[in-house]
Amino acid sequence: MQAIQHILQPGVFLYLVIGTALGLVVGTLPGLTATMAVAILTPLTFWLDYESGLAVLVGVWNSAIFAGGISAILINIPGTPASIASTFDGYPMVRQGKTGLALGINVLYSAIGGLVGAVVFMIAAFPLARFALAFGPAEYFALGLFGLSMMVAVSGASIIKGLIAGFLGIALSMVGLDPMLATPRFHFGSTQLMAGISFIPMLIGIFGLGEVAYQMITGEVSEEGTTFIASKKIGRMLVRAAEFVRTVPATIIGSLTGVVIGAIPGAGADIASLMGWEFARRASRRKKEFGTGSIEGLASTCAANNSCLGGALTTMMALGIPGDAVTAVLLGSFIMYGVRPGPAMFTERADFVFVVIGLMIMVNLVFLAGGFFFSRFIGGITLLPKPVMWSTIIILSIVGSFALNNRVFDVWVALLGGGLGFVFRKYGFPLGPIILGLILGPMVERNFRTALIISHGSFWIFLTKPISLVLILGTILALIGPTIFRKKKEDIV
Amino acid sequence: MTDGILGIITIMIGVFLFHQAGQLPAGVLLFALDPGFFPRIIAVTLVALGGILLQQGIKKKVQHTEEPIQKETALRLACVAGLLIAYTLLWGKGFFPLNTFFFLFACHLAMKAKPLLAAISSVVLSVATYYLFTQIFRVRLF
Repeated sequence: MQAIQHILQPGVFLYLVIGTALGLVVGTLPGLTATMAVAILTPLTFWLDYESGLAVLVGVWNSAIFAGGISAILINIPGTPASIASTFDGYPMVRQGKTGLALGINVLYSAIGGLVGAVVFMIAAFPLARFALAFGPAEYFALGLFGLSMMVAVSGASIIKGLIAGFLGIALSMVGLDPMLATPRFHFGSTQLMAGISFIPMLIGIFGLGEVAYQMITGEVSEEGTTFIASKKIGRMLVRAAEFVRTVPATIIGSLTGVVIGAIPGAGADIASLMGWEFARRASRRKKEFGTGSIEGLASTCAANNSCLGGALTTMMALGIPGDAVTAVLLGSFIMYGVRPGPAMFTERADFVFVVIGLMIMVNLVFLAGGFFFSRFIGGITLLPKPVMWSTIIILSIVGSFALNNRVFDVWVALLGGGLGFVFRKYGFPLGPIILGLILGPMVERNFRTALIISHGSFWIFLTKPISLVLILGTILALIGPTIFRKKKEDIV
Repeated sequence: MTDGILGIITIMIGVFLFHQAGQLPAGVLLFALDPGFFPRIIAVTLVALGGILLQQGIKKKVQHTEEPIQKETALRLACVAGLLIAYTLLWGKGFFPLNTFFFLFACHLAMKAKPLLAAISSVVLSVATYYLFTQIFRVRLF
C-alpha cells in the first residue's frame, strides 16, 4: 500500500512519463538501444529520490523495447534488437495497407506482455529464477539449436535459400576472436575485424539500407509482385473483438515464453521475441499466415519482447544476477540507492521491490495510453514522399550505426549489410535466417564447446540433462515433424 | 539460371571458408574443439546447400521471376551508393550538419525529389539529427 502511495506521487508519475517519452524516442531510432539510454540516464538520476530515479529508468527501458517495434513495423528496421521478429509480420501488414492495425497491435500486446511479465515477477520470482539458473552450457546450446531450427520457418518459399542465408549469418558471426581460445579468425590482418562484426550495424544495414535500395529499384512493386500502393491513411489502430479472441493463445504463449527466456541470464529480449514468435507459430492453426502479415505472429512477438523484461528483473532481483547489459546497469543503480539485489532484498527491502513492480505495471499503462498517439504520429512517416522517407532512413541508419560504439568501422559494416540485404532481396533470399545465424551462431558454438570441456569430450551431456534433451527433441521434431505428419495424413487419405 | 549461379557462388564461399578454417591453429585446451571446427562444419554445409541450389537452378525447379533493373534506376542507385561511400569516407572531416546537408541534398536529387523539397528536407534532417544525437544522446559527432 505504501509502495502504491509512493509511485502515485505526482513527481514520481511525472518522471515516469518523462522516462517513457525518452524511451519512445530511443526505441524508435535505429542504433540507439535501451542499454545505452539507461546507461546515459543512470548518472542523471543520482540526485533524485529512488522512486523518481527508478521511474525514469524503468520508463526508458520498457518503452524503448516497445518503441523498437514501431520502426520495425513502419520501415522494416528494428529499432532495437528485441523487435527483429516484429518485422516478420508487422512490415508485411504495412504493405497490405494495415499500418494502423499493426501499430495498434504493437502498443496493445507490448503492454499486455509487460503486464504479464510484472505479474509473473510478483508471484513467481523465486521458482522462475531457480529454473533459469538450471541453464548450463548444454542447455544454452540446445536452446540455440532450437532457435536455429526457426530458419526453416522464416525461410518462406525457398528453404534452401533460407538455410544458405542462415549459415552465411553464422559464418559472419565467426569473424573475430574465437569464443573459447581467443584465437583470431577471418580477420585478414584487420584489427577492426579482430573485434568481430557488430551485430546491430549489420542488422541496420540489412534491414534499413538494403530496404531503401530495394525500394529504389522496384518502385511501387511489392515482394509478391503485386502493385503496392501506400495507404493514404494510417487506418484503424484498435483490434476488433474477434481479432483479439484469435490472438489470445499466441499472446499467452508469447508472454510466457518471454518471461522464461528473459529470466535466463544471457538470453535477452531478441531471443525471447524470436522464440515467442516461433512457439506461437507452431501452436497456431494458421501457421502459413505467419511471416506474411499475421496478427497472431505480431501479437506473440510484441508480447514476448516486453514480458521478457519481467523475467530479466526476476533473476536480477531474486538472485542478484544480471541477465543482460540493461539489468547490469539497473543493478548498479539499485546499489547506488543502497539496495543490494538478492534473496534478502525481498524481506529487508520489500517496499523497494513493490515500488519496482508498481513502476513496471504503471509504465505499461502509461505507454498503453500514450503509445497509440505516439505511434499514429510516427506512423505519418509512411505518408512522406519517398525521397524524404528514404533519406530519413539512410541518415538514421548511418548515424545510428556510428552512435553504437563511436566507430566509423560500424558505418562500413552497415553499408556492407545494406549491400547484402539488397542482393538477398533481389535474388529471393529471406532476411530472417541471416539474423538468426548472427545472433544464435556464437551462442551455439561457445556453449557446445564449453559443454564438451565439462563432460570431458562426451556428447552424452546433451542427452542426459532434461532441459537440453527436451529442447533437442523439440528441434528434431520441428525439423522432421511436418514431413512425417504430412506423409501420415496422405497415407490415411 | 540465376539460382545456378548463386549456387556456384555459395559453393565458392564454402570452399574459401573451409580453406581459411584449415589454416587456423589447433586448440590447446583438452576436449575443447579447435577454433576451425565450427567454421569447417559451416563451410561443408554451405557447399552442400550451394550444390542443391545449383542442381535446382539447372533443373529449373526453383522459378525466380526477376524484374530487370532499368538503366536509369540503376544509375540513381549507383549514385546514392557512391554518395554513401563518399560521406562515410569524409566522416570526421568538416562539420557534421554541413556535410550531412550536402549529402542528403544530393541523395534527394538522385532520388528525383524536387529541389525545394530536397533543400527543406535536407536542412531539417541534418539539423534535427545533429541536435538529437549530440545534445540529447550525447553522441560525439563532428
